Amino acid sequence: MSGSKNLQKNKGSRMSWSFDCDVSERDVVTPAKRPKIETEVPSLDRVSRTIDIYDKKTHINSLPALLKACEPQEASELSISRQKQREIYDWLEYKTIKSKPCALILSGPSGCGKTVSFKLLAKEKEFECVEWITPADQGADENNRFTRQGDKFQDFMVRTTRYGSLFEDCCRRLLLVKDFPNVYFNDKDAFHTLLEQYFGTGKEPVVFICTDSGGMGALQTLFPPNVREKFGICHISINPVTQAVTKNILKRVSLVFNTRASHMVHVSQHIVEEILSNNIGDIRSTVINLIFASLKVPNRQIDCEGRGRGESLSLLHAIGRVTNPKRLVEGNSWKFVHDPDEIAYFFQTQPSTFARFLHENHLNTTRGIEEATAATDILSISDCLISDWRDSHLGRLGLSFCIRGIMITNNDPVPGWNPVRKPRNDEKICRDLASTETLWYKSLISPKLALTITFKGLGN
Amino acid sequence: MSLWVDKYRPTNLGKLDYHIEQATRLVNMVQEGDFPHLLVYGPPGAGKRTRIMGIIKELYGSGAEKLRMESMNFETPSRKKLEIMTISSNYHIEVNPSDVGMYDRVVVMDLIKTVAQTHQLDATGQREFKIVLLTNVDQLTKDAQHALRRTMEKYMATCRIILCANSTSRVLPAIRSRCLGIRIPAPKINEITTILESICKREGLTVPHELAIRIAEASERNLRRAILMLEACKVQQYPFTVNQNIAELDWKVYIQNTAKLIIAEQSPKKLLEVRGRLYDLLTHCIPCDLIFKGLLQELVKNCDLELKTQIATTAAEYEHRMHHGSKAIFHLEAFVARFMAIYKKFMETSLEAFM
Repeated sequence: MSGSKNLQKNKGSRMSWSFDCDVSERDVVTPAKRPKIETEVPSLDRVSRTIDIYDKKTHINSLPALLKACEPQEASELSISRQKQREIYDWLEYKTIKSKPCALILSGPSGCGKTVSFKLLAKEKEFECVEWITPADQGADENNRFTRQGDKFQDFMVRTTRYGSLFEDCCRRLLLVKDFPNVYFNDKDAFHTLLEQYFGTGKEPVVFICTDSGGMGALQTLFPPNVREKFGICHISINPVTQAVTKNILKRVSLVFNTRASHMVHVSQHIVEEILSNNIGDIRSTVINLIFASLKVPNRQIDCEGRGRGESLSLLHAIGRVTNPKRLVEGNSWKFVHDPDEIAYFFQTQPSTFARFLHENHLNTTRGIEEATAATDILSISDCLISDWRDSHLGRLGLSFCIRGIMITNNDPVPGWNPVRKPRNDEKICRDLASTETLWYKSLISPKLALTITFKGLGN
Repeated sequence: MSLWVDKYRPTNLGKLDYHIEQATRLVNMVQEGDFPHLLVYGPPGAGKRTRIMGIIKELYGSGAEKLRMESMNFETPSRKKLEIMTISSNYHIEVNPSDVGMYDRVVVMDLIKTVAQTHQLDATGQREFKIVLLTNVDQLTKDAQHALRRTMEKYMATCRIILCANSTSRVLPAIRSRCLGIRIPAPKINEITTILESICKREGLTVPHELAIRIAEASERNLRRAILMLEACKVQQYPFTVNQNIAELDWKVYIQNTAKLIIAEQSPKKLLEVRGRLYDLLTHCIPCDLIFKGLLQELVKNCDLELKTQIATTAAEYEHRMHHGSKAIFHLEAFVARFMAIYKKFMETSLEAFM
């Protein structure tokens, strides 16, 4: 069975041009010393069932296998809502006509389960998904000729489904495009010509999966409304995963983890709750975070603070941490709760902005003039360091110096509510005294003239 | 209506009222047809720009008097857009690069490049070079000055650079040595009074000699300021009286009041208030070194001798740092804070001794 499966794999799902992907697949799975689990490829029910049963008996040893194991197995486990599932079913059932081209766009934020859901639903409707994977390596073929990426994609779109598979006889196929070749983002017309060609000669339905990315994604650039209308492309948009659904999925996944991978991970209720609180509707990132948060690391305490998709420290938080330094006292020694270097690390690309914010806000929590003197002196030195453009390290050094300095000098911060203020913009300073003087006297000599130049004297 | 300062500005080197001997030398230099880069320096209001414009006119004739104001756009390597006002004729372009603060390097390099890369089409009857006039050179950052040094050499064939500065101390030695330095000293009090009186005569006014002397003294030998003051006096009260009020610059008073605040209380809260006032001064285009100077002069009035040296040292230190850094407010504030700390300590110890 395994042999026939590999054959299918080569012939069916992975076309020969996705060579790279094959390699990585092998790399990932082989160390686990297990037969390949390729749930998405075999559309024959009995094959996947066998694997499922086989799976449940074994323990999982590698992270990719772990991720694989928590993929949904049936429609009720999916992260998308029932209504959207219905819509996809309807499309698969009624819109796709044998040997006729038709297209669907699935859009949604990243990690909301577009691809996984669609593949599963298509499998239930006995479709085989043939996915386009943009080859990363532009190798020459045997005749030493290079094929353009666009040509390969065109080949895929038009010719993949022209001939039936030798191994599959009962099911239909559909094309899945998620990874659009980059050329089309520059040359939209080429893509539209290709669509036209597909709708002329294509045989099987095609599904485009687009990630919403704030107005500039593939949906907006490659499929403007007029194009969608012209070809009659259906569009199903999927929302971010809701908190309740995420909770259910995490419950199911943590059960899988705790029973089958207990030697690797241990999911506790505490971790699940913390992960849930950081959830932003991205189920993939949530699951990955869950795995890493509950990994069993020997002899090391894991602190569970602020884990999310790319932890970032907001400017306001960071300013608060510096102007209100908290200390941990242990016996005779002490250290800061928030490491100054860590704060500096987050803002190393914009040291001067951070220094200006610090300057604007540090006096609010300073108690005495002596502390203020030390702090302002440190700011003054760090400004000299940051302003030097000849060595980029000096900027980071200056930032670290001023953060550390302000935290250390302020050993007894004044409590109270101090909203962070924005520094006044003094970049537009004109330094020409002569013109200032002339303007001021002009305002005395002929007030009307000066009004148009908007120079106001300083009030005393 | 133009101001008297502009109206009675001498338009060529022959019409200057003082430093006549120097003016004839300038004329001689220009008549040779070519000259090196110039660095014109002297106190404010001494007539530097008047002389520079005279030189340009002497070179190119009256065509150089047709001035136009344009705003030029530059882009920093970090894609920040800069806009700067330039005054130009067909033969020269004047710009104050320090207006764009720490990005002046980009302006200096790009401006000279664009001006100097094009040759004069018709060299007959024209000079072979154009003139780039950079004002406020002592406010230029070190980076800009280094950039200037390279570009100066590179485009010697097609352009001459005239630099205008208050003092050479902040101009890099490398630039100083590449330029012919011309010092324009401030006019003497009696020279200013003569000029003020002649302006009044041409306006058909009579001015008491004592008032003219008072204005000249109040102007601190700054001719531009003196003429502006005269005109302001005329608007306020005419006919003139000997003891009439002369309008002082308001920021001087503002700095005095700021100093009073600092003396009155020394606390972080007060420091915040002082910071607000410093920002006000800066946004009203008062150069930071003048603020420094004004503050120091006011503050030391309240200290005894031992303290004075200490405070002057501190001021010098922060003023020096200010020129290395890019944010003047940081250093001004650091100075104020240090003064507050020193003063507070001094007051406490003297109080203890008193008890």
